[in-house]
Amino acid sequence: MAVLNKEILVVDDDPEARTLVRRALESLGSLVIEVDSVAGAREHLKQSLPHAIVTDLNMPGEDGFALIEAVRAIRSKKALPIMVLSAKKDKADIFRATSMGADEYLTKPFAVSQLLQKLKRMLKDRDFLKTTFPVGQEPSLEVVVPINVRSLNEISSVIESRVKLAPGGAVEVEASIFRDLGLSDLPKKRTHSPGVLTEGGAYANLIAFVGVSESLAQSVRKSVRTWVKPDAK
Amino acid sequence: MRSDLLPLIYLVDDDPEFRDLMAAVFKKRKVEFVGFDNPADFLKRLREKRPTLCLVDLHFGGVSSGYQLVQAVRNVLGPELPLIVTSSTSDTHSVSHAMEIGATDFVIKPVDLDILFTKLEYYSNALKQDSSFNFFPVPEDRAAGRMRLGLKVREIDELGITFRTPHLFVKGTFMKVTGPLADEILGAGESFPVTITSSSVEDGIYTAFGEFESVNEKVLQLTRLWLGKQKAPDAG
Repeated sequence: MAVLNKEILVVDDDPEARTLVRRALESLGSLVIEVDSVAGAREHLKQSLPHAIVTDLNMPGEDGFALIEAVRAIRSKKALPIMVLSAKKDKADIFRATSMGADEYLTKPFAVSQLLQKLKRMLKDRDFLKTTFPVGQEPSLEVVVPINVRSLNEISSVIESRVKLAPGGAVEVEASIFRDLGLSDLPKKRTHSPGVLTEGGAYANLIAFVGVSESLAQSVRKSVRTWVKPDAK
Repeated sequence: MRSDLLPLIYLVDDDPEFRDLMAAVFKKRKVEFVGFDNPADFLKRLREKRPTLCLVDLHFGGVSSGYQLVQAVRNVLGPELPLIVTSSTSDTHSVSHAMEIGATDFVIKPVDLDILFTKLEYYSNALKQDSSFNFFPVPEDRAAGRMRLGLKVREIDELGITFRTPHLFVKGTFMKVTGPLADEILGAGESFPVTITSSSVEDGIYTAFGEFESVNEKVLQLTRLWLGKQKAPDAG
């Protein structure tokens, strides 16, 4: 549905009018932000980009026309549609508002069904904002994924997670068991054995510890033998 | 290639020309090969004699049959048998899904024989790694850990992030994504909460979509505000 989970900024100095609009929009699952002046709207627009604005025209201080002008200076109709809700019925006012950039005009008193219908139409045509990064200039992000260390020996470990790791690369893993066994500081590398899908829907990946010394290997061997019997990988 | 590296290959594919081609190719390389034109015979033989590796046509017999075959192989022989699916070039979503449900790797048709045999040798060598080191199961209360992985952001929109990675993220995985772009959009130290909802693979790189938590109004609002600024500067 076009209005579900959308943020709608309602600008009107009349609290009853704001309440009426808010209830109508919230009944369809919109998130409604109310402000009582154009100054309040300007302030909100510094912090947020609503999906649409519903504004009165006649307000103390700056009027709705000023708001339309200010919004259209920085946002296109496709990016931020505006609906005017006003008692002004003059064709001249309607023409002025729409030519300045309002998408819809509804005179007060209005039928709620008409309000919702116009709003849905406005939001349906709204552009979906996105930014695409050129190949080679994609920003890097990082994700931390929980793992279970399923088994290990002196030189490698099977770790389970909801990621099937690409073979051959370095792996950054942390686990208390690695710390306890003195393996934390060793570089770890994804081996070339295939990642295996387990019954729980996770992947078992084999990683190798790089540069295990003989003394560390003995220490690990001694520690793990206190757990349980050896397991077939 | 030495034949003792590849003792037995099973292929299930409803294209008789492809089966004949593979039979000739494997014969030339002195590899034992059995082709199947129906799943029933294939699964019956699987139970009788374990192959070194299976090749499965992802589109055998229609849209979902290939997936069912992959799952059937896993049910019969467990998670460790190398299973390579074959697929057409345009079908990256299907391949990604097949990997999620149990395929080990894939080759795109028409099959490049060098790529195919490189993969076959790779998985056979992997199988032949003889570990003289026993694996000890880690006690459950000591098994927890975490792993850091890098992503490249291809696109960000009001619903989520499209990113590229060499790793396969299972659909439905919830994770928190951090980095300079998250700092810029959400604030220093903040993260995008996303759930992986789709994935496709091409040339060994996965493109996945992480959808924002719909209940996280702050993330949605701040992302929208940032996206709006990319189109036009905010004059305030």
